Amino acid sequence: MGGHRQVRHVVRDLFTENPCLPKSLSSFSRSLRIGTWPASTAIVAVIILLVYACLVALAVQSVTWFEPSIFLYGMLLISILLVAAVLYSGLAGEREKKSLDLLLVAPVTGAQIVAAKLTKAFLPLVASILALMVPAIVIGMMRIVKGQPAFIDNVNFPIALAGALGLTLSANVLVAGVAVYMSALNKTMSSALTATIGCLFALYVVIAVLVSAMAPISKDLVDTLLAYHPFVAMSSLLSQNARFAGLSVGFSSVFHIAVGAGLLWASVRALETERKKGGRASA
Amino acid sequence: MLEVKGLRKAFGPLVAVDNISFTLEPGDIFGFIGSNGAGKTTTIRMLATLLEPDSGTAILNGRDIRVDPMSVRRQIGFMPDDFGIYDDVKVWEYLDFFATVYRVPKVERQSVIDNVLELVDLTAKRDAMATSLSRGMRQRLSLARCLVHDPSLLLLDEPASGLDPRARAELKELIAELGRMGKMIIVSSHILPELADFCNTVGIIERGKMVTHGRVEDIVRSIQQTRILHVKVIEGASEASMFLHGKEGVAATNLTGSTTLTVEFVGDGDMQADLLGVLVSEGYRVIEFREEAANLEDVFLQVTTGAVN
Repeated sequence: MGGHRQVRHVVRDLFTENPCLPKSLSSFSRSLRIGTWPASTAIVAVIILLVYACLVALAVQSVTWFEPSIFLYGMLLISILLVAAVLYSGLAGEREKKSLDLLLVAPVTGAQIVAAKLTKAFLPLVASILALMVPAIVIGMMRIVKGQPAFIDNVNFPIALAGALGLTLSANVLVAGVAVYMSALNKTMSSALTATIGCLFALYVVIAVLVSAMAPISKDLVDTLLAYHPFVAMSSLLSQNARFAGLSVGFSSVFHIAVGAGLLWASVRALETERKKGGRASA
Repeated sequence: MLEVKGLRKAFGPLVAVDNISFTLEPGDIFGFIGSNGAGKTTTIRMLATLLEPDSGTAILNGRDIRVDPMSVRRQIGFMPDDFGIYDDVKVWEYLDFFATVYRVPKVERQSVIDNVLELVDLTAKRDAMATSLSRGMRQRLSLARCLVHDPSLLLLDEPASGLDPRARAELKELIAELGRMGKMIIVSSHILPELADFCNTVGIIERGKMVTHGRVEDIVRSIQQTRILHVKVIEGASEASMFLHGKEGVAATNLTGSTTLTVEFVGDGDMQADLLGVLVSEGYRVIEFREEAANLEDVFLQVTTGAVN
């Protein structure tokens, strides 16, 4: 009961009664008003939507040889990119506009400010999941209706979808943590963007390549060490012969959630320290 | 009431603020004067709870900034030298956001926004984008933001910097009006004429130390031993000048025109009144008899050495 009350208190403090949220929510709704977009952005968006619609139509037409995996990988990749793109500017942008002091001098906690920034990622995350999960489900169902397995590797369809969703959500916790923490540490949006890209590149590309280079020594060791990688975990999940599918998905999810939560906590601490020491805002 | 007690802040070997103390009562407008780098902004940021003092504290209406900063924040309106205006919001949305952040009840928010917009004369710009405002208007919007939660203490850091003369005059009038409304206001500036007109108390800071502080008149009197009296008579200024010479408290007289003269005077208000009485009883038809306004610039130059941190 005590724990339940504590969770309710945290949710109320950070979300339902967080006074910083309206700014995040209003910037959502404003970003959706196409009238405020530059014409070039609107044109690019329309082209992307048309290409996407053609791809989905093509995939649906080709269900005898086309399977849903590509959409699940796409969901993971695109959601990560969108969440990072939305969050890196949060605190660094406030600092660049000199508005962070106005929040720090207000009667709100660092956790409330960070929570409000996180809500900016909610819409892109949900949109990317829906846009790619729905076609994956449709194509999988159509293959089943035609008497084929949903995936070529005959993976359990609902488990694969649930695993892919879990991997996507947990990976985005870490990406959100990296982007917000880099935003909390940097004075300008451009340096926050560089730092965020650098961290994600190091985490998902450099480390993966270095670990893979150890394959001649021990393939099992490489498989074990790479289990943190969401794309490796997704690959294990979507391949029938994967030995570590459950372990890999579980480990990757726990790793991402733990590191992501740690970075978000560090972001809150960085804000509170800035409030006391006058840090980056008073440069 | 604000009591600042022995505030000190050092950044490494550099002591930015050293043992600063002063007290403000409701309605006081405190001009915080000092050269660039003297420690004004550091002091203001400590009072705004944006910087933790190394020692000393400040107590605002019974709340200690170090012990209960969250309560203090509810009572402070802070206007930094940068406006911090979001580029994607309308004027009313900007104020609505900060009213929400300061937990102004939803039912009161619209009327509060309308009131502060009227106070800063931005009602006509209610639906304009905040970024489309001129610098003077942004400054007033920033002041409106400070007021949405009805704070008892306003901290204004270089509020008139970069404003044209008209905007500067409007801002001065606005700050004076807020003082009349009973708010305690701390205004920092290194431009002295900016403060002289509307501050009733001043503090002069140099290299982090408060050189002097108090009522403007008291400081001026403590520094300048003689007061300048401006006297205008209908006729006979030169005779009046000779008549006043040697009277009690009169150090010197200077004829400045056919009907005007100045008197260098050492004495209090009673002695001034006596001097005026003597003049009138002697038959001089006096139409002006006033003390020259305190000159902050002279005081500042006299009490500071020009050294900076």
